[in-house]
Amino acid sequence: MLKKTRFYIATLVIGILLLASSFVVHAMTEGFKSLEGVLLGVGAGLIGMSIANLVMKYYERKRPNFKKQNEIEFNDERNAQIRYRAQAKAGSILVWLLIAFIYLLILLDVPLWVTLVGVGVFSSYYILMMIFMNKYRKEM
Amino acid sequence: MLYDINVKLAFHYSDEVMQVKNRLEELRKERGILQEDLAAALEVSRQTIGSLENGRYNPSIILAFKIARYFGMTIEEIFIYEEETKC
Repeated sequence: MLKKTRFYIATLVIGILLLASSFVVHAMTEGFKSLEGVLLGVGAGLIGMSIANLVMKYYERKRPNFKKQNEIEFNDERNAQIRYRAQAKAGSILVWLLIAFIYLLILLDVPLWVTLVGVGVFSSYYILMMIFMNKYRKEM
Repeated sequence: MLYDINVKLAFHYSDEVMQVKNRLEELRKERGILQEDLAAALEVSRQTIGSLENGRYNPSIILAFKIARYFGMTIEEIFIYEEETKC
């Protein structure tokens, strides 16, 4: 999506804060390895994404034609249709993969709550689909 | 008016074949306009113009109006909708 520079500056700051807090957790506590890993991973991911997008924004500011072309490509109705169809297709395939994964979890004899979380995610797909179908029925 | 129809998009519903044809390529070439220039004027990608011309893509009603206005014609003069019954 085409977001504003301020959004990416905010995500960069959040990423730096998360990264810093992972070092604080590492230095000051013991036995919080997983929390440390999550903070480090999410922080690094946000920093990478923000820098890449900020560089793109800088490039767009230097070359207004490039920005205009990018906006046209993004808003182009055929491109938007292709994007939505691809997202819908990928979502449908993901549901089938999730079903296979849930069966794999059952075969691996994992704790029941893990399987139930998988079933919950699977169910949420259909719940969200119903919510959005209802929303778009009212809008269209 | 005799249409030089160069594009056909077909939709099959039960026994009916619905086709949308357009004269975009013919009109563009008549006026010596490049795909890139038409795309820039309509604020769409060049690929969209290509897809419209070779019949892979049907435009939204808004884009159809934009195209019609660009050429100073009506939508019906550019896009032709036909229904045929399968034999």
